[in-house]
Amino acid sequence: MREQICEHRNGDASGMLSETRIEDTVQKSIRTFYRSEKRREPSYLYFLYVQLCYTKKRWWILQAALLAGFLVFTGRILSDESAQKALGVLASLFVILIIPSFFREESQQMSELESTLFFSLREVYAARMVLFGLFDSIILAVFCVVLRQRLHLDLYQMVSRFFIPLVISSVICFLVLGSRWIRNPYLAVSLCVLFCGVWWFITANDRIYASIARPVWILILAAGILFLVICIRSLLKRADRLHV
Amino acid sequence: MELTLNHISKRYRQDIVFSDVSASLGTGLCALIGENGSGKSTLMKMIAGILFPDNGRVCFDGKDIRELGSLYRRRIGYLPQTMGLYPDMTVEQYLFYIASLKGLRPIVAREDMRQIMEDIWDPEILKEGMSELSGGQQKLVGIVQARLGDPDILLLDEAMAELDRDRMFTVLKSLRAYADSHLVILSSHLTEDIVPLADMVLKTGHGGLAYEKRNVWGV
Repeated sequence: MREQICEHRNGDASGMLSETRIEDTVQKSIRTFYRSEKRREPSYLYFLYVQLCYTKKRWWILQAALLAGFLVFTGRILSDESAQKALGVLASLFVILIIPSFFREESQQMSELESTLFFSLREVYAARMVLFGLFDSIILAVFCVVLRQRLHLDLYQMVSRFFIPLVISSVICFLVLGSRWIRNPYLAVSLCVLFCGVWWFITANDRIYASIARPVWILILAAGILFLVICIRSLLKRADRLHV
Repeated sequence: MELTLNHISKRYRQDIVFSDVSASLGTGLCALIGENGSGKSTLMKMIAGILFPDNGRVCFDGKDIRELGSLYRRRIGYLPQTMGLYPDMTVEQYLFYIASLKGLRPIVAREDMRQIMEDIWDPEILKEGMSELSGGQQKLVGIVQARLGDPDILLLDEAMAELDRDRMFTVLKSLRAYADSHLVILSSHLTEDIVPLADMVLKTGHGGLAYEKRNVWGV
């Protein structure tokens, strides 16, 4: 009996020690795992995925709805001629819908904090340009194919009626929102609306519109794209200090 | 680990904020004190890499933080004096978003959140919407996001503002423990609460920076 008690006690003691050691080892393993995970190189793909998740899809839906609505109203309410003239206004509105989601840090005063993080504002803006660029390219491509069939526009007309105002509106937005001194989404929207008015005046007046030769339109488009690239590069370069 | 300020000068138009100031900070709790407008936030921003000094350098382990770039940003946690928030997010979503910008994987972020929340707050608050939080609660969220990823340098600008005294002492206790193996720079006007816990005190004012190393007793 005595031997059995001693054996039982020994067995119990070593069992307790084993339990404690096991628990200790488990905790150390967990801490080591998390330490190594923290040291892992951050994944840009995961960052891009998170940007996609946190982007407000409603603005993309609005953009698609805007283009779809235009196509629906063309022929029903708008004549073909009026629809062609309204393409510039449509292009500006399309660009304006990018602003709320693209520059949400500004309205929420998060710029200062986010510029100190590993993926800083520069990477955030670049990621959003990739995401918006991809999505907008797809819906614009579909829109252009349908529009071409609906209004029987050739490439030159698509460029001069839609893409040039699209590029100019984009330049206005990136110029204003990439500026350290006049960085204001409402200003960007106001200037785009003002541009809409000017563009409408040009396209509504056939004499003015027809007097602008084809090479001039192409030059305007090329200059617009070049200036847009410069604005975007400038924004990315100075993104982390624009709010300072 | 060493953070050094090498002959820093900074001015805003005609106002000289800092004139050729230097300091060297290591592990521990550093209280950053000074009158309103004396340059506490400016100094925080220069250490965080948001502002650059007109002259001089901020160095981390001997290297200019401008050259280190994202490598340095990975090792700091920053809470600005005025912190925005995304009102459409819950606390958990917000913290996960910040964690993703810090390059943290979700599994690490979740564990960090749990530990920090248990330390200074209540994990149940993770489900609340950011817009429903009071000013003090938003400040606590700010402290939690700054600590995500276990940064070597924690920069907290007026972190104690809007906190009730019980919560403030809970946070201070946690930061004191954190400072045993990290550098925590805490700016506050509540000098009587923070200075006794600090290993170092930096005082801003009149273009200068006074540095004092202290012995911490009974903590």
